[in-house]
Amino acid sequence: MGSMVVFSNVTKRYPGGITAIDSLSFGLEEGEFLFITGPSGAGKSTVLRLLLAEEGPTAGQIIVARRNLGSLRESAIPYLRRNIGVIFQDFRLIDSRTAFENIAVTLEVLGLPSSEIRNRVGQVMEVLGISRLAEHRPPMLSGGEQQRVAIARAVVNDPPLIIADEPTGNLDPALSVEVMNLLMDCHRRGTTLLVATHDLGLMNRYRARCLSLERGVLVEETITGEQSEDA
Amino acid sequence: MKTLRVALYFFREAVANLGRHPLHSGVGILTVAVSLIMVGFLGLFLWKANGLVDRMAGGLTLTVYLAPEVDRAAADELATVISTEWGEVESVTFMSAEEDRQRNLRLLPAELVEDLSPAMVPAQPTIEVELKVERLTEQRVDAMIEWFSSLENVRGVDEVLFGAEKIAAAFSLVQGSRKLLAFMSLVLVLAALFFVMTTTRLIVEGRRKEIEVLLLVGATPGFVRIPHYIEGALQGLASGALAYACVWLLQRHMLSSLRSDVFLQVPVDLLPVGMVAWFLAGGLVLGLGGSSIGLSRYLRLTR
Repeated sequence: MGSMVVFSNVTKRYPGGITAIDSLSFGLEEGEFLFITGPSGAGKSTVLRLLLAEEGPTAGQIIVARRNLGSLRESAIPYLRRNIGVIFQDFRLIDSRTAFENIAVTLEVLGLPSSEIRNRVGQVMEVLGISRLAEHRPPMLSGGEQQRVAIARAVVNDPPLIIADEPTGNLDPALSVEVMNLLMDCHRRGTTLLVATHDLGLMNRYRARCLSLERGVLVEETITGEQSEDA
Repeated sequence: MKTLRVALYFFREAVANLGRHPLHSGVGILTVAVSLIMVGFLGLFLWKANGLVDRMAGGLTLTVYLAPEVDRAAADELATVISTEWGEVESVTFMSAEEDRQRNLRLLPAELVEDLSPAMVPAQPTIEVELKVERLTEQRVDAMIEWFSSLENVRGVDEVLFGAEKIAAAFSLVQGSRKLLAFMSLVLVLAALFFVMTTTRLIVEGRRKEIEVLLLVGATPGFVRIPHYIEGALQGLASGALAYACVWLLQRHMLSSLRSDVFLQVPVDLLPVGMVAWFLAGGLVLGLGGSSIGLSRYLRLTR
């Protein structure tokens, strides 16, 4: 097992002197499950944006899936992102496309044949219990259904790393557990999982390493859910 | 095989996008079509103005009055000189003094000719030159005036009539209109481009989220851009066809109104079939240009 993610003394400063991340260092092993928590403005989302190479660090080194993001050419960024499944609090689904088409885009960018795309999307929709929603557009779906579609889009190409930014932020407690259980299923199959959340109740249901950030600084590293079923 | 599959995907995706965003597609097609109609109409006027000048030039006739003592051989020699030196000559006709007299008699009112002795009618040997001018320019008009005036100095030539002032006046009028129309066309083309650019920016802004999602799941900028360009080209072609249809219908309506209201038989074809190619090409250029505008700033992979 190697490292899936390595942050070495990473600092991210924005124009105007705002420091979002300050000398942050942590590692994430392949197949590991990690929570990043902290109040709003702690830098959780910045960590995820850095992982996706949406932004570059001001200082430090980031390695994702054995790629040093500092030396990564811009043209290589799409290929990095194909190794990362992303889930957002606001789902980020394309309203003009059906649920099926929203999930299929992940495979379409890989240039797979239509028949294979149909099979794989059909399979993942069945596993997530959303087959009946295939022809529905996101505005016709509930929050929980939209998040399932977003999860399906993130996992349909079997990425080695899934990152989720407040994946349950817009969901009620029962749906939140359901969505987290779906992510845990992926993790159990060997996928590395990184979840940014400030929902302590939810974190304590699952056994995982947890990094607590405050104003961009790592203040605590703990293990959550010591008493949980996952323990 | 993969290349063909991807190309087919791009085309399918472009067509699907037209259906996914019917309002955007409709606005885009209408914007380009309206721009093409505006520019197309002015272009047609400009073209017709050019044709008018050329027709005027084509119908020019030069009359060289010769001295009475000039014989046929000297007149033929002069006709050959005009043909060879000026070049753009449709026909040269020699008329003897008698033929000139008969022509003048035909031109006079019958009641006047009745009591008139033919000897009273002025007559002179004449050379009638019908000019063939393919393209009239300011320099050509000046050269024409200068050369034809110089003919008056040739021995045996009495007078040369060719309405130089009329040509110059008509020419400067049309030339002025041509410049004005060219300027107006330029302004309209720029306005059309601005119109298309603004609409495209709004359309692309509406698709910002879609583009962001595609980039997040690992799409390359080209993967996003190519279907967008194809979509723009298809919209442009549809706009070109729509603009042509509108102008054609408008022309048909105008001509039928003229015929029925004014009893005027207008044998004018304002919109030749070849124009459809210009409309389609214009639509294609505006559609492709418009689709590329504003897209780049959303295709940045990093912030």
